[in-house]
Amino acid sequence: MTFGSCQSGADKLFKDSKIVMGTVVEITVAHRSEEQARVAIREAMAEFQRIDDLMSSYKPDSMVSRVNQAGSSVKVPVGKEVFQIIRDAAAISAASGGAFDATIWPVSRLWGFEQGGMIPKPAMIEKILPVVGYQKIEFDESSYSVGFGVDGMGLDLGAIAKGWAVDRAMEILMARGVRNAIIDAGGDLRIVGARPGKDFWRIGVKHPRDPGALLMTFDLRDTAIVTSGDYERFFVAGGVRYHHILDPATGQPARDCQSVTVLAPTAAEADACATAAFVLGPSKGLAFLRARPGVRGVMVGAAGELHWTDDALALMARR
Amino acid sequence: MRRSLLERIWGPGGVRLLLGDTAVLVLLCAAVTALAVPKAAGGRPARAEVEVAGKAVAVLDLSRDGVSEIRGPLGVTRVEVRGGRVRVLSSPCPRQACRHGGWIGAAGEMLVCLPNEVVIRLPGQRAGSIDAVAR
Repeated sequence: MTFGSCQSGADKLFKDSKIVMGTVVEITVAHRSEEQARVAIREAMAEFQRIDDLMSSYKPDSMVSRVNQAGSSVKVPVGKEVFQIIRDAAAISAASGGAFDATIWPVSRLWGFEQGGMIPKPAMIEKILPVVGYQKIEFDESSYSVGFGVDGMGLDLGAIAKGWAVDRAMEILMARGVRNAIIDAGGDLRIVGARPGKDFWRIGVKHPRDPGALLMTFDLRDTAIVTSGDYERFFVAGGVRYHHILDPATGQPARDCQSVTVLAPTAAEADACATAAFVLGPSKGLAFLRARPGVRGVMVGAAGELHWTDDALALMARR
Repeated sequence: MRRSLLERIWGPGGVRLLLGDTAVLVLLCAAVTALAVPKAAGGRPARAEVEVAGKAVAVLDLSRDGVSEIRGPLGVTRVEVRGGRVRVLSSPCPRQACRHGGWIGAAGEMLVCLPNEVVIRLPGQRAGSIDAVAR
């Protein structure tokens, strides 16, 4: 669905949305020309499908699935782009001490959140945890190939690929001359420029326990903002909430946060850092975010208490 | 003799509106109207737009209570309208996230069933001039 709406000034807003990468992607562009806006949005939207086809662990023909199916004795040529994102994922894994780990796939599959979710038997998790570990990913840059050091490993780029797709789609918009836009992939946002008539875009952050409420509001331009929360994918069993953000050290849902919002130069970095900080918990998570240049964050702890990096507050909306 | 409020404020002898006073009153009325109308228009939309797999399939009148059946690739999603709000009543999807989303009734709000590819959208600008939500 695309529509325009009159705004003050010469630019109008044009939007389109589509279900892709397991979420709703919405692109908003401010532009003088409806035709040029539509073309830019269409091309940017197609980028999500291209990246999903490359990087989904759920599509048997994706590059990532080929690596997952190959076993430890084979390095699979994945091309420069997939090689790069796996390398970036490994770098953030290392920086976070393994709190974010792209090799969590065997454990994610046990929990089956995409199919509604089930509690795996502890023995199954114990058996499979030793194959989780970004250190065991093997890279061959000369052929852009990736493999595993241990049988049974698997990649799950779900906590970085959506952000990566947002960044690539924004590059396409900008190459098409767009200077004011928001790309929203299920809450993973990249923002350039400002809303017509303003010098910012006003971005809300979802409240982790009140579905209809906002936790806070930021006035932003030229940044990415991503929230990871325990309310996104979860099931409740015996009165306990089991959510999809798994601690690679235990194979269990991380328990120290309700949500983490990260602002970063790119959506890929914000995406992965939000997951890492969530698993690390408020104290270590804030230290991790503060150590990364240009990264800010707001964390909601397990009891609903707020923690933040000081520079995040400067971006809060002034009413 | 009963006195009007204006007389009680400004004293007896009646109140005469001069041209400048009238202009101020007109401007005040215009300002109140300008503030009130966008809130009314953006706050409570009159309809919900329903898409399946990216295609518009229905427009629900939010002034008419009832249940509609929306067919997606997994089966039928039942959507209820009541009191100007809308919710997913039942869904064939495994996680039931759309059903847990509860009621929506404000402009810019959306319910999504990813597995059944159903999107229910309330048209208009989000309240408080929010352009997007990190969620």
